[in-house]
Amino acid sequence: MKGVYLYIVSRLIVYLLVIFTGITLCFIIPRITGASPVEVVITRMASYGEYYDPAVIQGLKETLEELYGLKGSLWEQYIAFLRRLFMGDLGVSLTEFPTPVSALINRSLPWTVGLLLFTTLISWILGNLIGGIAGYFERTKWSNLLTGFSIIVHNIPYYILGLCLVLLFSYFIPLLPMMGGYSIGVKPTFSLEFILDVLSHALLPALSIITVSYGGSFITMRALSITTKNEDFTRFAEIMRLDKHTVLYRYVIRNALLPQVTGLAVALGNIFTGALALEVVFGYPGLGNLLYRALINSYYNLIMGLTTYSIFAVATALLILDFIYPFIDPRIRYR
Amino acid sequence: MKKGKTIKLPKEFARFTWRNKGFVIGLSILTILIILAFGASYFSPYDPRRWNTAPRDMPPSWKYPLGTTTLGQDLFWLLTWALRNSLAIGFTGSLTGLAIGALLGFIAGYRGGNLDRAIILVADIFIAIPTLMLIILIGSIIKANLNIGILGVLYGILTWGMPVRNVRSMILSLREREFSYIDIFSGLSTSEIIFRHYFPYIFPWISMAAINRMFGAIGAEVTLAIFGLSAIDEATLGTMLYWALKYQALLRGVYWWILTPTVTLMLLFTSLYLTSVGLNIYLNPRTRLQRTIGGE
Amino acid sequence: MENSEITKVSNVRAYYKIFGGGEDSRYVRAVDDISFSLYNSEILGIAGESGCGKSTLIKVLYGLVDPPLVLLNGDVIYRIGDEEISIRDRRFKRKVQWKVCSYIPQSSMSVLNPVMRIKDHFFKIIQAHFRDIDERELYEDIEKHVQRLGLPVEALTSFPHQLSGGMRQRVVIALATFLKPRVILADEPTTALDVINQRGVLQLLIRIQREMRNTVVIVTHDMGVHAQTAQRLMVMYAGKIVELASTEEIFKNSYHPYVRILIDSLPFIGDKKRRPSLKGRPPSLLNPPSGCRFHPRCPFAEDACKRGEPPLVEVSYGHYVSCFKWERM
Repeated sequence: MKGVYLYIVSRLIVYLLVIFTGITLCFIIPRITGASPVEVVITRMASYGEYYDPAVIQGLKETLEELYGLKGSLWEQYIAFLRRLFMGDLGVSLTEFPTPVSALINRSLPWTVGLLLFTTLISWILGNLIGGIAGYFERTKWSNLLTGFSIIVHNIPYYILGLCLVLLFSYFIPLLPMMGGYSIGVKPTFSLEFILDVLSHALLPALSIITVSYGGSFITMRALSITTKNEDFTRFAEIMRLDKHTVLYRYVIRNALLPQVTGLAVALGNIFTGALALEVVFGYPGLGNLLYRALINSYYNLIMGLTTYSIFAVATALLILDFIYPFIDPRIRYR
Repeated sequence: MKKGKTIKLPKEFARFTWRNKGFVIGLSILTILIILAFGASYFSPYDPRRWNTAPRDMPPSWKYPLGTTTLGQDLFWLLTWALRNSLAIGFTGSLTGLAIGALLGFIAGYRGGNLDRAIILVADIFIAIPTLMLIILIGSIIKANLNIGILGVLYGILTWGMPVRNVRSMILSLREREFSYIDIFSGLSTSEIIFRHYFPYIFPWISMAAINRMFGAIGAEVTLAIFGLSAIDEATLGTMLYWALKYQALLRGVYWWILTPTVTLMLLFTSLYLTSVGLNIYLNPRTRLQRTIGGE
Repeated sequence: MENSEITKVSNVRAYYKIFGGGEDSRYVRAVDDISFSLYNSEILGIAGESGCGKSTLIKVLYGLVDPPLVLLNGDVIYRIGDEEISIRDRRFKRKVQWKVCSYIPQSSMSVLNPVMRIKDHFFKIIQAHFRDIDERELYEDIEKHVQRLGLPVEALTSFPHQLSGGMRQRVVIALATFLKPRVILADEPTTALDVINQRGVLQLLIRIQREMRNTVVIVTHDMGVHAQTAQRLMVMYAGKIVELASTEEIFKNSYHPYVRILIDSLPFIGDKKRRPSLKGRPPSLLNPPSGCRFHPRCPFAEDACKRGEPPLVEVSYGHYVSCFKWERM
């Protein structure tokens, strides 16, 4: 099992490097562009038309610099930045003072995680299963139909499909709600009524993600399935007259799944950011909308916090996938 | 060594198009879009950056084929400009990242050793980091200065990771093939090896990758626009969406404003995909062989 | 009867269809009008250069005729007990394949499922061929079977990549002999192996044939392999049989010019002379030469050889040749 330990350790190292690099980039980017977030706030305040005493403005500037971690030399800032991150402190939000950014994130987090987890799992499983079968029976009519469908949907960004669905099922045919996580004015409780309300609001966004991701998984899996179907070992299974479903599941699909797991890992970043944009379009109360609000109002700390957080989240998801992989591929597990 | 004869070119092409209807459909749609973008936009009577050049909120009619927006713009001409800019961003982003990635991938594969390992590590890190978030971060700070050119280049700079891996693996497998050894032993110079032998293999992949990366670049611009970070004064497919969403087009019943960029994007992506798949089949040496008589 | 016929191959034409211009699809004539018989309890070797059609013939023998391969003409009939069953029969695949006749394809290095343990390969065979048996009860039998083939019991719980090339080849042979077939078809069973493993596999095949008293067909271009294993030897050229006889006859007393030159070209220990070899290259199966396929390279060719195809005649007991000039050899 020595090979497995080596593998795990190397993946952990890459994980740490990814987070480290990402966070450092997060730190550097705002500071080298020359534009100062403090100035942004000051300018915004000035645009409201009021007159402020210069001493007040100066005091404000200093407070802001402290708040945004912009005090001191670059190196001092960096160390402070890292130290605070290590403690899980992402800074404090300016307008929702003194709510820490991490609290804001935690409030929106469950919505995004719930949506992403559910949709990614379903679409990956469905896409790979059906794609695998469609690849194995490649010349049938239904296989070609499914392929055509997936070709059309897989390249569309989630939010575009979301808009189409909204146009269809909310606008032209008023069936489902257009936006939000739950109906306005309703208090979140654990009642069946509320849960159904949440589900009806989540249906269209979830459907958008599921359809597109399914399409993507389907197409690559089908191609892989066709290739695997023609491999020597699959041919040999057919020579040995093994059961058709043994060949389909344990030979073709099982082997084609390996590169699909890797493919999922590579796509994670895009899935994540795509979902965030989807939330904006649907007004869904997750991280995406939080980011949107932060951007409109230039909530610097919140933006920084969200960016740092997403790097961490995606990298961790990647790590989890990396850990799962040896369990599927015996060639990694045993020497 | 060619045995047998190849069928005359037009006939072969005709059969190819019949077999690959998807490719034809995709290419036709794409051509129409490109003509709109780079042909029609020059005839536009309106400057896309100006508002109130047409009556507001007019549904599609003969005078305004796609309707007008709440900002008083003719949607049809706006679309031609938006297509042009979006495609420009697509090209820029795609080619920039491809150039960087292909070059680094080539070096990594050809040189090998520690340099190879270092490049791969950095590439992996960049693949893992959700780069769009970084672009959002950059965009949030230098809001006013994001224009079309910068968007494209920015996207390219941050997405060079995948091309590195792909080019590197191609180079590695090419190096091991026998003709490489023959080349080296017979004294061909490095540049001759690269151009005469490797290029025919890498070139199809590069053309494919160039098209495939356009999805990412155009999509990134639209995603940024949704967050309000694209070049909102310019006309792109993304900014059309941004303004439509901002003015609550759907809730107010101005559905054509949302429909236009949405459907156009869908058409653009689908046609690009079909074209690229068709191109892949055409260039793929294995299927190419099946199209000509001969061989053994 | 000990040496009764188990398989009869009659006038088999098996071509590969190549899509060329659409209208005129061309055919690669891999197996062109071949007839012979397989007998119980023998080892038949099939020899010939690359591209002479021997691998295709083996596939046809197994009934593995999938597009682009088409069986244009002829038949292969197996005799099992009182029953005769042809490869064209719909029941052939279910009743004969792997049970009565097994097939070991080329490149046996990569025919095992990378994500399945060896024992599961056996289990799947049992599952597929015997519906109502619980495969786990037969685990002991599987163990004994692989041990008799020289494999350690640990191999069963391993994955294919953990085994060496030679072991993997033995596993494949174990899988092929598990259901105790009457005919075993092996396509180049030793080509990818080093010399030591080659010998091991050949000894194994000989031993299996001796113990199970069944028929083994070995296809290879390596005449050394045939010298060690084959009792009867069939030489193919460009899709046709040129000579079929006992191994000894082929090596010492062949009638066909091609076979003669082939044998003469083989070196032996202590040999110092320069060996003659054939000029030219084997013909294209897409457009084979007229008449006798060998005439362009044959040093004894005459006009008749260009015009007509020589029939396969029995020149002595069990010795068949396809050449107009066999008497003068």
